[in-house]
Amino acid sequence: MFIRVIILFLCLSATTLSAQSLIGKKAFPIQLKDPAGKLVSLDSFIGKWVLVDFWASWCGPCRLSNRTVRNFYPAWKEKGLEVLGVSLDEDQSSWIRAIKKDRIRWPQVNSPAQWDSQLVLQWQIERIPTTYLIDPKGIIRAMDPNPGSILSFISTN
Amino acid sequence: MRNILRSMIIGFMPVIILFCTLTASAQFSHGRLQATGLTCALCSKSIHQALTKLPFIDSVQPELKTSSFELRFNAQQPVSIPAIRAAVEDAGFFIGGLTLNLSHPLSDQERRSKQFSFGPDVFQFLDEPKAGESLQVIGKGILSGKDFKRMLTRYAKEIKSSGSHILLIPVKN
Repeated sequence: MFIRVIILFLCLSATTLSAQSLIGKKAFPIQLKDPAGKLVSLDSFIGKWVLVDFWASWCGPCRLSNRTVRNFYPAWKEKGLEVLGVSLDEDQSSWIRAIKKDRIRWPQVNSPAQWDSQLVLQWQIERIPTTYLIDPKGIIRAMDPNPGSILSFISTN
Repeated sequence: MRNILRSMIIGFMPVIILFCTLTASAQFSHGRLQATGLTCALCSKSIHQALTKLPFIDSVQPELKTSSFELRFNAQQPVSIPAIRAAVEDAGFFIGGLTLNLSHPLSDQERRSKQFSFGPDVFQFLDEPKAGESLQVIGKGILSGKDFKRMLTRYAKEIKSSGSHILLIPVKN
């Protein structure tokens, strides 16, 4: 019996060590420039739910996901959710062109170092698109939530 | 004085030309890599990191339109095809296709022999690429299974005779 407990404990430790989930952690600071060159900070959204959306103009699935966000954005905004797009584009003109083409109407900032940034490491971005749902207190509540679970979070809490 | 200088230059011309053709070997300036796998290759950090780590690669730029990575090579280091393949496969993907571009025209000797050395590898080519053409690397693991089979039927003789040399075929950009 004792051996089984030890084995169970080791298995649980192994999973928690490798997962390193950001859920429940305080959102890492984001302070980047928007298309107009103005500095936008994630802090400025405290008091609202925020969906941080990591993407890039050269990422096909990201461009498709922009379309999904565009469809849900009006309903989300009404319920007090803001979306903050963070692009990994190195080339500013490609980024701005994509914003226009995808008819993006929510706040956008650029982290121009592609995959080589502190931001990518902190937020554990292994692939894009990756989204994180942050609550009004600035705590990370979900990673890659689907529209259904986003609605649940912002409607009940 | 001017005559002496002129005759010296004329006298040394053959040496200079010989020296140039002997030392100026072919080099690649840039290339295009298509990677395939279960997930989107351009969207993945692992494949980008694996490629940028290679000493002969200066930059890796994903391109949505061609679904490929544009690679810029470092002039100081020889491009290694096996190293590119290993990087892509270690990241969990496969090479769907790889095209390369020469940084300067081939020498007469290279054109005649239809091959050149570049670092540890020997490249063999069917034809010299024309303007607006790149060189497609033909090999199992450097071309998707379906494309390689098609190449095998079309260039069976050349592929068999190339042995350990890396075969290059000009393709339109």
